[in-house]
Order: sequence, then C-alpha cells, then structure tokens
Amino acid sequence: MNDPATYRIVLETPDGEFSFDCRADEVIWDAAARHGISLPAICHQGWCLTCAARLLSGAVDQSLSRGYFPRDKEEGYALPCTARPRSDVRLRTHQQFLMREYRRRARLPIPYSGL
Amino acid sequence: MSAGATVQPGDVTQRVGVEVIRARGVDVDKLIKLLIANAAAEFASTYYYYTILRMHLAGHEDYKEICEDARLEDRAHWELIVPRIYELGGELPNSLPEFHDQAGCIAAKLPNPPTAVNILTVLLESERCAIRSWTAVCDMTFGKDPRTYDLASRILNEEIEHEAWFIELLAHERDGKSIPSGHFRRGEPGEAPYSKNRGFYNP
Repeated sequence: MNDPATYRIVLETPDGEFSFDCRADEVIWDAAARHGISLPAICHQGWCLTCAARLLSGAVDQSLSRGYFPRDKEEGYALPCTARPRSDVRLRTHQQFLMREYRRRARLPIPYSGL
Repeated sequence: MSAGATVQPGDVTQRVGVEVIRARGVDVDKLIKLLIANAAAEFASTYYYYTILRMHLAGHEDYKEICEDARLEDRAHWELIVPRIYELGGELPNSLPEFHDQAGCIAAKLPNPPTAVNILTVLLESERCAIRSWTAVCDMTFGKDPRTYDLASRILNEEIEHEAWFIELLAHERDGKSIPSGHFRRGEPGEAPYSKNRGFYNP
C-alpha cells in the first residue's frame, strides 16, 4: 500500500510565517503541533470556530468537521483542527472573530458567539 | 495600592471580587463569555440531549445508568457555574435558542440509527469536547482567579471520569475489548462528587 501523499503547508500567523509538510491523512492542526507551532483550538471537532483560518490557496478536506457548512467554503474559511490537505495549502490563521462575524451575517451557528 | 482597593466603601457598581482578578490579568469579559458558552454546552448540548440518548439505551441497562450519571452530573455542572457568571457581572441570555446556539460543543443529538455503539460514540465525543472546554477555562484562570479555577477544575474532574467510562463501554460494545475506566458506582445517580457542593440547594 502506498504511503499517503504529503503536501506543503504555509501558515500566516500573527507571529510570522511557518511552513511544514503534512500527510494527506493528517489533520493540519496536528501537523503544526508536531512541528512546534501552537495554534488556537478548543473543541478539536471542527465545531467551535476557535481555530478558524482563511484558506488563501489550495484545497482541504473538512469531512471530519462536525460543523462546517458549504457556505464556509464559499467564504474561504477553513477549520485546521479537522482539515486534511488535498494539495499544497496556504492558510491565514487566527480568524475566529472574522469567521463568527460572517456566520452571524449568514445566520449560521456561532459557537462561542459572545467572543 | 492593592488590587481592588479602588472600590469605594458602599459602592455597589463595582465588585472587589472582580477587580482583584482583573488586576491579576484576567480578561473578565472574555471569561464571562467562555463560562456562558460552557454553561450552554452543559445544559443545552449535553443535559438535554443526554436525556434523549438515555431513553434509547433500552436493553443496555448498565450503559443507561452510566449515561444517567453523566447526564445528572452535567446538570450539576450547570448549577455550579451559573452563579459564577452572575458574580462576575455577567448574565445568561434571555433567549434559550440564542443560549443554545453559542455552546462550544455540538449538541449530542440522537444518532441515526440509534444503536448502542452510535450512542456511546456521541457520548464519548461530547465528553471530550467538555474536557477541552473546561481545560481552556482552567488555563485562563490558573494562578489568577482561584474561585473560577476551583469550579472549573471540579467540573473537569468529572468530565475526565465520564470520558473514561464511555471509552470503557464503547471499547466493550464496539470492539469487544476490555479498557477499564476505574469506575466505582456512584453513591446515588448523578452524585457529582466533585461538583455538587451545595447538596442542600442543588438536589
């Protein structure tokens, strides 16, 4: 059996830009942690929006997420805690407040909506 | 000047109990919002939906009773944390749907089909989300806000127990494996040994 494909991940964070490799069967948040990069998260189930990021380029699989809507993808958001890469990917992290604002406008669920 | 000393005698618009933790670096507004979201998870995402899950565990009386303990203890968590929200100057939303929708954990809805394996999987993942949510509160308050930390850590103690229970039951039911949780029977259903500290008030 072939090893899963590996993709290059680039994160734009408030602390600078980081890049690392991530297997197609691995969650981007976990791969970042494996490389010593600490990203925000609480639920780790693709629900609470704490890890929200903007998908600047590339493709991710969000099928592990418990609350990721087609509109989220259209608006360019990703949830790295449950996102697996399907190509090389560039993400802008720490977008939870903007994602909640968009969810509010879109009348979609807003976990931790008070934040 | 010590923290909280700026609250004037007789002033009911400020709380020393809030100002001292703010002076220690707690973002009190953010803490209140986190507590409300966690209270929503305890009450709306778990207590309510665990009630339904429990109803569908007929024929698995042992699973049903463990689910019952977790269900009632989540209610105890709700009862434990709500007073702290008000002490800090916060309040619960006056709209139940608004309250429900801000829970940090997804609602533990009845799976389809409602098999024991599927129900136990929902219960396990709900407990895991609760552990992560209360750990976030502990991290935010450790060494700064001993009262909230104490309440959150009591709840966390029980959520960790609940996870172990459901790992044991799911491993048995789904995989035929023995992964003991260390569970001893509660003295009574939903005893909440860590979190129910006001038994006379919170029956």
